[in-house]
Amino acid sequence: MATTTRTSGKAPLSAYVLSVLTALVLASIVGAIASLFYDENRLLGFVIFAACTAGTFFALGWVLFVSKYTVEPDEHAEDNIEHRWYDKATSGAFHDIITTAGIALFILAITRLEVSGLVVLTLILVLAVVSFAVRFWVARRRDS
Amino acid sequence: MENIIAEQRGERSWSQAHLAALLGVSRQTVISIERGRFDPSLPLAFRIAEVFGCRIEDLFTPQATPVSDPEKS
Repeated sequence: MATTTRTSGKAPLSAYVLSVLTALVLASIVGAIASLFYDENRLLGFVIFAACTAGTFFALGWVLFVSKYTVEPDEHAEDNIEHRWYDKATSGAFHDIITTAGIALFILAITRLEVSGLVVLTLILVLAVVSFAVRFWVARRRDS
Repeated sequence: MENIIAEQRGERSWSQAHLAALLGVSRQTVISIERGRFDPSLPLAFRIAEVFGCRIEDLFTPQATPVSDPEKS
């Protein structure tokens, strides 16, 4: 996060429509791709992946089409204490991931355990989110 | 770093929100600076000094930390 932002004004209706359309199209594409890997129930695969990614793609559409009307850059974002909390939380989470990944790799190398990539990536993601959230909360409590 | 921002703000009857708006930062930033829990960046310190019409060193006082002289050691 390079800058924080401030809200202002409303976007035209076309911008919201474009963001929704972007979400529908991209989610449908992901659903279609996912369905190719589901031999038994392709429709279910399509629906699940399209539904799960629609929210994220709507956010992307909002950033691309709506935010330029509703959000203005904050010139002094880096001077805010919230920016420092963010920096401390992200750097701390990064170190947590490096340390944990190193230890986990060491254990896997010794034990020769085979772990699914899906499981590993999920754990890394959860660790990153939890570590960031806790560190941000602690910094906020300490500095407020 | 200690500071007298709260006193200066009080003399002008400004709220923390008003000072934050003048400085272009969040109210939480002003609160934390006044409590001495957040040392502002140099650009922000200059803006604070400008808002109060004084110099940075009139507002901020560094905590006493001995400065070592490399020639003596």
